[in-house]
Amino acid sequence: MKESGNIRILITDDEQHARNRLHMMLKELDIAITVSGEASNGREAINLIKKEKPDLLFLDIQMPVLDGFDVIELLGDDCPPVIFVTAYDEYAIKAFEVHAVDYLLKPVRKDRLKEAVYRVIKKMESGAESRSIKQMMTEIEPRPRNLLHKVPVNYKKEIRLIDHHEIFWFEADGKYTRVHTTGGKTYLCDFNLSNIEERLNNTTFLRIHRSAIANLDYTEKIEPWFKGGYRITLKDGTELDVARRRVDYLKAKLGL
Amino acid sequence: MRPTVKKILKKYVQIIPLVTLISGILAYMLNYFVYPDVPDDLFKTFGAAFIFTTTFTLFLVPAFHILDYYFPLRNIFEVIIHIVIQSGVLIGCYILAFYVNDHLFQIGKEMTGQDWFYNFTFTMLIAMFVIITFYIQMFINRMREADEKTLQAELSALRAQVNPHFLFNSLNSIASLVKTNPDQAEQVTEDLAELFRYSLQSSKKHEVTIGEEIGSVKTYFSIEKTRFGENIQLNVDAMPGVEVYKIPALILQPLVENSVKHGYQQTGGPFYIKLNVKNENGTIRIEVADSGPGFGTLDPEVIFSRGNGLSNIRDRLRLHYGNRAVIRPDGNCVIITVPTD
Repeated sequence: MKESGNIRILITDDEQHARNRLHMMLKELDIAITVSGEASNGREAINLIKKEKPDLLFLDIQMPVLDGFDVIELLGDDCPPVIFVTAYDEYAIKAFEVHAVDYLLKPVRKDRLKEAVYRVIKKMESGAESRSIKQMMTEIEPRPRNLLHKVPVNYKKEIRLIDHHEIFWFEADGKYTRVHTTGGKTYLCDFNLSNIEERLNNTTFLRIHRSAIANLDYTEKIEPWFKGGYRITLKDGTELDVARRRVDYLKAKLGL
Repeated sequence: MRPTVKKILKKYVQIIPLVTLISGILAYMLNYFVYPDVPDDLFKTFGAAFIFTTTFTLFLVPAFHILDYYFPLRNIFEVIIHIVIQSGVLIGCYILAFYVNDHLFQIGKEMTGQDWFYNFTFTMLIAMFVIITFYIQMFINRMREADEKTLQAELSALRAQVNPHFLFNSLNSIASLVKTNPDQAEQVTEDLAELFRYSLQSSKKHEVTIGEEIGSVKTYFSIEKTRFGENIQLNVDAMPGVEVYKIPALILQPLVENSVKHGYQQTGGPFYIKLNVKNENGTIRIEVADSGPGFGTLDPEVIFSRGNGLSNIRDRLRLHYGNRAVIRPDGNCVIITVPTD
């Protein structure tokens, strides 16, 4: 039923009934729109958006593993205009009230939904679209983010989630991070190393250097190295330097 | 232990100079009336008063804190234990202080039995007066603290109960189900009403039965299941007969809610929660375990400080049971043990 001129919409919410309701309500609006897909989590949303390139994204904020903000961050420039749909998010609502991006509160009212869609259409026509989302993201007040129990990496134009125990170490690569896995493959993750360090909060990982986080479970050898630093050898033979000022953390973690 | 040491030092500073002064003055006056023909020795009198006061305070205050740790003052049994043990400490202190005083000021040299009796009675009267004042003050503080804590605990239990995220998402589910599945919409509405009614009623009660608590967990979970579908599963395993025992209200459901909130948020996929209640030789053992990644740290203080409702449960258990209840986060589970009496 896709027609040219239709606005193609993607709905992302981790609750089936929430997706159903939004879908039904959108169908009942007399606006030329097509719901081109539904995603039940952040990873699915990113992959669908990269494939389908919808015109508009309805995005829930609180979702397991990758939340709504992660989706926007990982999509970067591929992110379509977003209407946030949230039940209650004390951190986000305040930010939304200040900024131009539209947001809806669950349970969504029909007239409010219509208004939001019209607002986006207007913006799309005037050409000033998703720039404001990225701008808002930088101004949004810091909120506690989900811990990354799975690390999102790029794989053939898709997002994949890698488990902690599959990771040997992380390597900084400018704004991005290289993830070295036990399978011998190296993936690129769109988060930077500091962001990953902050959200790992796990006893097995340690930032050992400005540009590296190691999985201490896979450490085979630790030896003193130059200038008071250390060098650790991972099970796959990778040798990593431990910065002098991080040696104390390493010792504390290993109980030395 | 740090804050206790600080408290003890503070008490020393408050008690020693003041009581030395008062007891010194009293002793001086008493000397004047009882022994009018003996020349007054101001230095000796105040020196002895200082030694007595310092010795008593030095031992009795820490003794109070140690006793309070093992026998927190809540009923007459604990008060009697305090009185008996503190009396022993008191006598010991008197002997010690008398010995020191005798050594320093030779007060015992020309003392007759009657003098000694006067000295003992006088010292004990003052000591008793100070101790009683001290205990009354501690009692009043304790009661005020407990009142405040109970109120706060009740409030935050209620607030946690009315978790806005849960409420609005449930209402959203109902709004959706009204059209697609009216029967289920009805069911969720009833469950939601039952859950909130339970919270409102039980927060006013001192305690509820384990059976009632498990009931509210099941109601809560059936709503969450409507939201998340078959992705989440709960397995309740309660030993027969354990349902009749009473515990403080709103303990179990917040624990399960924590699992859903934090555990499921981090895994996303299929998620299992196991609630296990057992009676182990007169101790109720409650265990909530889930298939999530766990707390990520072994330090209980870090876990309790995260504002996840666990510290509130710990506070309420402490208010209710003193030191006889234990709450312990362990890997991906939380274990609570409470006495059955």
